Amino acid sequence: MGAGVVHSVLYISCGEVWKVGFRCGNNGNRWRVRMIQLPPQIREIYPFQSHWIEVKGYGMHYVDEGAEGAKATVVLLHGNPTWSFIYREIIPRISHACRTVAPDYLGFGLSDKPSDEGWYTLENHIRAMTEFINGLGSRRVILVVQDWGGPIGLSYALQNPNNVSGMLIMNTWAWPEPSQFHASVMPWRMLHAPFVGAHVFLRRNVLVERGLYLSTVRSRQLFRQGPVLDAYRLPFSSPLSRVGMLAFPRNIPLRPGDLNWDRMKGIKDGLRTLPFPCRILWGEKDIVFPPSNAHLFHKLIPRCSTPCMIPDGGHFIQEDAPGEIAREVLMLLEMI
Amino acid sequence: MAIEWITRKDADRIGTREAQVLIEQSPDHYPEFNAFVQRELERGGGSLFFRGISGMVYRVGTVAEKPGGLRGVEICVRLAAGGVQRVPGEVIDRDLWAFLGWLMQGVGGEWSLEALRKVGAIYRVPGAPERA
Repeated sequence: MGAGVVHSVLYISCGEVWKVGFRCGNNGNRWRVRMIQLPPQIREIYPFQSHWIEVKGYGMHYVDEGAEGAKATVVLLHGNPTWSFIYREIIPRISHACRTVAPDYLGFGLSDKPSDEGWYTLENHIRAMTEFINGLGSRRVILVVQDWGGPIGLSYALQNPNNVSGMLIMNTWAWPEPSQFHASVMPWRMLHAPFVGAHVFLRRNVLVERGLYLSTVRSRQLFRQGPVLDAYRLPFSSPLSRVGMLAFPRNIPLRPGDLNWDRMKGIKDGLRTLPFPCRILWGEKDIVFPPSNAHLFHKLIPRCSTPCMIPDGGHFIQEDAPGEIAREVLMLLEMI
Repeated sequence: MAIEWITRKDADRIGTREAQVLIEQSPDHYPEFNAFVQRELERGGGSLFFRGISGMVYRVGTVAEKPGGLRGVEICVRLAAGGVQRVPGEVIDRDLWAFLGWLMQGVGGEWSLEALRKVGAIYRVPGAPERA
């Protein structure tokens, strides 16, 4: 295993080449040729055209659907260990009403994956997403956020309040104090402890293989086997391609002085200043972020609707309640 | 089942060809892990060697730092000299799990073998026993 970047290099399934991407450099003049051909069983449920943009020197993949000239742009931000695929059931439900953009963070999905764990800081993700959103050429976007999409999207919103017209906040957090799940040795802190994390995240990909199953309710059966699970496995085909997945939990602050404590405190302090309408949708069965998080958001954000709770929804609420999420986005569109 | 620490001389009897099976880029993510591993590495003169429960031999050592290169601690399996040797992943998983058990006992404090086993069972980590 060498240093560098894990590009979208050669994905082989059953002897057939499904996906090829490569990059060539010559005296600083970089050019890129990409071809994407996802396995048909995945393409069938993720039938969107792929787009790339260069961000921080890496190729960032995104989906960009919807009618040209739409009055609003909705940006859908995923969490760990997912990618734009998690919004596949939501995009077709809203793209008639808005431009719908779903990026894959660097290190996730079909985007390039730096292999140096040190690259994957919350700050770098925020900078990359800021560059991405500002490069869309859309003014006043609506952000839809879940899991790490919360700190990333809220940071963008606080730094660019005039470029955001609304937010849908789902199963996430925005303060330095860790959830009980994040603070406990068993299981979370053990999972990403030194060497344990390298084994279970990098070598054996358990966050995809088991974590998705454990963190969903309605859709749980999709994560036993089949094309949905295969689609989540697809971007993470080697240990070095999973470094970003391991780095995210290591970015969660637990006490003052930890990496990102001050950043998260800044986000919390900024919630009361958000000038645009926010809606909240929450999977009540989330073992990571309990319903009390939804009520805290409601308390801290001035223009915030009463949380819409999904009693049989889990952490990956996009899988459990895509119809409800689409409805909330359409309601936000009517509000702006 | 526990791993058995052996000398470099014993490890070299297998041969010196290696394949990396695990790299930890942030051993200092929790300082207590880094302190323990660095202390053990110093005691071993920079590298440690162990025989896994499968009988395979492994080296634990610092990844050589180089500009733009990965840093951290790696675990490599020793391969027999000559020929092509395929080591089943599940064999390595069990040996690595046993190494993690040693690590928990060495670091101590809030890190316990029992907690590791429970996590292994909940997440069905390959190499971990099915029940804690």
